[in-house]
Amino acid sequence: MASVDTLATPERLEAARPPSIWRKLLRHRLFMTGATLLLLMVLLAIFADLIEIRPPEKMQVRLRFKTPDFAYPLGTDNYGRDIYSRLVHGSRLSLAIGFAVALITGILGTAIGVAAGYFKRLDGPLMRLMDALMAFPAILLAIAIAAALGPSAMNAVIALAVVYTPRTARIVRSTVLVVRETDYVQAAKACGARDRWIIWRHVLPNSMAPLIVQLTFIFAYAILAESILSFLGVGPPPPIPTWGNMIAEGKDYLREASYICFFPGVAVALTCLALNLLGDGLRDVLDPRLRVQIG
Amino acid sequence: MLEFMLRRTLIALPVLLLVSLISALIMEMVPGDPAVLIAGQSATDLELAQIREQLGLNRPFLSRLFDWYVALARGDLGDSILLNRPVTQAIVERVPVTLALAGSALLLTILLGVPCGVLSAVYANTWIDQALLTFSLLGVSIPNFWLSLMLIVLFGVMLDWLPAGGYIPFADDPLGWVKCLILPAFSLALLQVGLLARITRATMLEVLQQDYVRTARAKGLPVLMVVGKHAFKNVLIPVITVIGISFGLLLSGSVVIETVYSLPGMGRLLANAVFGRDYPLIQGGLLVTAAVLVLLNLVVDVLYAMVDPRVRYGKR
Repeated sequence: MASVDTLATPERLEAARPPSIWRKLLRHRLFMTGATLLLLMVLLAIFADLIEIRPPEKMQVRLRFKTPDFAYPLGTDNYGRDIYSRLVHGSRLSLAIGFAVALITGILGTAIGVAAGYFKRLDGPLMRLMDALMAFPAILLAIAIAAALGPSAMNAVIALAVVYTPRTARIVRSTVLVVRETDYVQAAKACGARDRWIIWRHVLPNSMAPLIVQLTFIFAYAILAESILSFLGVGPPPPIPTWGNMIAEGKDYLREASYICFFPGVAVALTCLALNLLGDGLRDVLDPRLRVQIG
Repeated sequence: MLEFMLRRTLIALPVLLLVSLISALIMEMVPGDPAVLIAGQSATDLELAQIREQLGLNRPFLSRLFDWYVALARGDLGDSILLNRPVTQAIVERVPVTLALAGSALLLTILLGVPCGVLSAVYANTWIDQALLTFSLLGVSIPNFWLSLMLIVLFGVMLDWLPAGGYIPFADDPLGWVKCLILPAFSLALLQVGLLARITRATMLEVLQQDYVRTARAKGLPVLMVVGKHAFKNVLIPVITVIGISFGLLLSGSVVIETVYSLPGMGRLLANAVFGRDYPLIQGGLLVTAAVLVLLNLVVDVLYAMVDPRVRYGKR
């Protein structure tokens, strides 16, 4: 009975189907490396209170500039504070700022991008404004806004969201322009569907892939940019540790104790690397045609 | 061609107008009284009144905005509060240093990025490709000010090969000039090297699959010859793209890099303006850099159209 071998049993149909997005992501080696690394960082941030050795703001004047050893795994800084504990706690604000920027940018960028891409009349004015915001060097504009608003975590988020929203809006708009012309959207229009319904049911779900990829990269830029803002003194102010202001405080003691700066920088680099790997993997799987985008 | 250039210029005009408006709005975002922020809490009423007068804070916003545009038309960006002299003068003086830094960083980017990208494409999906990809990912992940600090410790302090900071004008000591630019230029270039390498790789991969390249290989021409002669010309386009994108990144980066290496350029001027809450200088600096970038993008677009005739007739 040879024909049994060619029967389409449910198991065989399952095996013949192209692998799902999750399956593809799980098989993507670089994506999984990034995901693991990021998960580790997030766990550090969540359980910071449990894995700290000492309170991150506790100063011990007699224990200043201790090089890394068993009791102080990453040494102590110029106030005798434990660098390891500060690093673990710093991950909270750094990750939170990065995430908040990605979230706000995603919402605003989608709203503006959809409005500009879907309604032709809004396209010109909205995109000229976005062009103008993008004409400024990203970090420079963020620094100027943060300097005007005053140094705080909230203002850093606002400054970075202003800088990265236009870049997101542009990407969403370009996808929406394509989706708007597809047959299913035209068909929905012909049936008399309202714009709100079409946007919600058809345009948004089909414009998500490039957006998600872009937001992963923006998460990474935001963490990098936050460290620059803190470094220049317009980010979240000390004594609350962020990776950026730890480097800023350590830079005056570079000659004697370079390890104060070293570890927070490694933390920033690892987190950004994780997010970039994640973004690359998502792009490979979700939207292979996309190329490198840098803001 | 002329029509294309005119069209692009017409698009740039409203953008420039908005850019100037955004720059003018920066001081309006300050919560409370900017004069207090500038002069400090201990300032006397007289000092505060002077600063308000100088910034025009005692007049309504629209009249101030009007004055800003009138002055702008004359090429006047107001006076810096900290330096006590015209903003334009302060900026123009610093431009050569920033240009030297950005120029050498760009040169390094092209010298490192293009070969890396070509290598990656020729040896696609081998360990060489993987290693270069990892390197370029590291380049976009490492904060460049932190890298600068580490390079200063390594080369400036521990090995003592290069100066840890400061600037020597080319006219005074050419060798010293090169030496003091090596570390800053490298720190600034690293981000773009990865970017250029990845764009070059993608372009090269596309080109290498073309029929004429296959024909050349089939004729028995060696790989190097094919890559060098047939495929390489196409790499010019990503190089132009990256020069366009890079300049913005370079100017952004110079704020941080010039501060770390104490180079007396525009970036450090603006960083100091930020520290000192010198709003006229911040606004002027923002406007100048953005205007330069808009014009540069215009030039890049025209260059595209010259290199690739398809662009001229396209939908752009």
